[in-house]
Amino acid sequence: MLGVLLVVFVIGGGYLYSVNQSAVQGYHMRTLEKEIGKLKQDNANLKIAEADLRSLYRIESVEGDLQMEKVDTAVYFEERGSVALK
Amino acid sequence: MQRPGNAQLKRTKKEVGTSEKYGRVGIIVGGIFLVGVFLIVRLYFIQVVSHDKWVAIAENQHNAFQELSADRGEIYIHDGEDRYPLAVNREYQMVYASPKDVVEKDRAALELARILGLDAGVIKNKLDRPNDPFEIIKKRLNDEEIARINELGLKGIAFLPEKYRYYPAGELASQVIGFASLRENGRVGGYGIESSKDGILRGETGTVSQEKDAAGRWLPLSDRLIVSPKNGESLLLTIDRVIQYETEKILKDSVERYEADSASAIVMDPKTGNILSMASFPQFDPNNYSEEEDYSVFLNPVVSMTYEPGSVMKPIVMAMGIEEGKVSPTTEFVDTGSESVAGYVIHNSENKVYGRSTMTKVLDQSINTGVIYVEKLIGNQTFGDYFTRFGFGKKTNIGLPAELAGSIRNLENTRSNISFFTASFGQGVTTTPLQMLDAYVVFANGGKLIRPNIIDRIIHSDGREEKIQPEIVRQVLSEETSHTIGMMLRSVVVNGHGKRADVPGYQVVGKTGTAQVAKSDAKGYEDGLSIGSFVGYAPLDDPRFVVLVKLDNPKKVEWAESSAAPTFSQIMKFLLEYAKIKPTEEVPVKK
Repeated sequence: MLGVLLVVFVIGGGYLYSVNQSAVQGYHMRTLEKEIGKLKQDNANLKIAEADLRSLYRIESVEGDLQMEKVDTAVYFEERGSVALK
Repeated sequence: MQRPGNAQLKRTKKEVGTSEKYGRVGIIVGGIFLVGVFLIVRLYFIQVVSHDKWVAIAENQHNAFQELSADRGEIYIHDGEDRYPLAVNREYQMVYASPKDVVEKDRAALELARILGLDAGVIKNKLDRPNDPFEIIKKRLNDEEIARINELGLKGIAFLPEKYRYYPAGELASQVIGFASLRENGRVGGYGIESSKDGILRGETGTVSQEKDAAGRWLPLSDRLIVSPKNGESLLLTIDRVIQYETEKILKDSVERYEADSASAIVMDPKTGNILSMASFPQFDPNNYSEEEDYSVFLNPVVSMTYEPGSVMKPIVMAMGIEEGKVSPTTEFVDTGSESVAGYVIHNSENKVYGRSTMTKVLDQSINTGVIYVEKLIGNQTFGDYFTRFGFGKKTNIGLPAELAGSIRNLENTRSNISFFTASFGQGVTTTPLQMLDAYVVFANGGKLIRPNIIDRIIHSDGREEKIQPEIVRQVLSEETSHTIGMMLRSVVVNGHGKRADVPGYQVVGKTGTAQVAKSDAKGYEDGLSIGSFVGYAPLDDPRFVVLVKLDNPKKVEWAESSAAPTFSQIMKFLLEYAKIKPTEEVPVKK
């Protein structure tokens, strides 16, 4: 009789533990899902912020501060083949 | 008369009672039967005939249903090896109040009004509605506003995220991209790519439904049915960000310098038909499109406006003559300065008389009578057929909204010589700037007409990318003719009216056109209005860029050689250097 009670107690305890673990894992998954969602949104916001910073209108407005100089004429150098010396 | 006895009377009463009883039972049974029949019929109609309707009503009462919105696809352009977002979905915060939870309503209203720049009375009015669970205070907050409201720690004031369409590049390519506006059924494309590709950008909304209790709360243990939303496809356009920006900048400078009303420019890669830049001025900011008073600024004039192109049509007529073997660059004709037809006299510009002239000179000096001479040799029927083969009178199907086909209806009557004569120097027929550019691509592309393309790839929501392949429409000219016409157009830039379109060090080719503007409500042309244009390409031996520049009603200069040609030169110089194309000609040294 005591043995049966012990088995029931162990099985019941095991069941409770597994249910508890499932609940903990489920909660953990939901937390991670939320975190993924937030990171995705942060990533999207950063991409927009990057696009704003890369805007050519903005770059041109601060070209003086960035000490950028407009190139009027492109100069092309003649490419020469390498010479092997003995 | 014999009276009935008691026994007989009793029996008769009993018989009558039984009969009445059966009668009443019959009525009740009949009634029950009728009610039964009525119920069966009614059930039939409810359960069979109107089954779907009642199921829907029941589901509405017992099920909570929510629509899941799909993210609208984004639009990108090329930025070197990278991609630049032109249209994205941006999350903004909206601040709202739950009036019953707000304490210190006067203070809350005053503080919020100060931070948000709103009227404190209006906010207080919203906070004084205790039965209203949700009152929007302000949408699209910036980061500073959110931080300052958070610092206040007001009870009953909270934020809710909302997605809006955002255009990081502002005005860049605004007529190409258009904008998406909020309608009853979500965000819908209004103009530009946002409109023409709305079907693939929009995606499909999803749903989630679950049983609810009498109070309307979701039942946690009941089955939940989720249909996931399908996000819209994104698009990568063929436009290059730097080329688009620089073209717009040069175009804007030209509009100011020549005091033009408006202007357009297109840059195309002749080998693929890919549009590298499609610029128009004036532009608009798609982030604030509702502030525009003149809605016509939303239209893309490159595809939605037609004009009589003028002398830029002459090389096309010359190419027909060469292809048909009627003329060559050295063929001579004698110009008398005018041509009479059907009671009209057509003159050269500025009434000039050139005498004996070669076909090369006809293009160099843009001689009207010279192209009429070629048209006569070709014949009206063949001339009209070539117009169609070059793509005039038909939409290019580039995939932009409100594209016009232009009109070559005047060439339908082959007995009307005057229509064909005027068409030879670009009057009496209309084209869009894009059609005109595409016709020149035939010269730059070995005689092949190519479909202009503005969408490089469709980026599916699962990450797959679908490349849009170039489409050759037809072979219009032989490769030899296209080469010959290229040499003649080089002569226009070296010896003719196109000198100011040249870029030192490169073989640039093209043709000017100063066109009159047809009256919209009567026959004839507007006094004092003109359209200056230049179409050309470079380098001649291996064309990389075909460019069209069109300035509407420039006031400071009379001819396109002094307005559109130098604008073209600026754009072409930038393009050749940007593409690191090595000069092939000697650059004259400035003394």
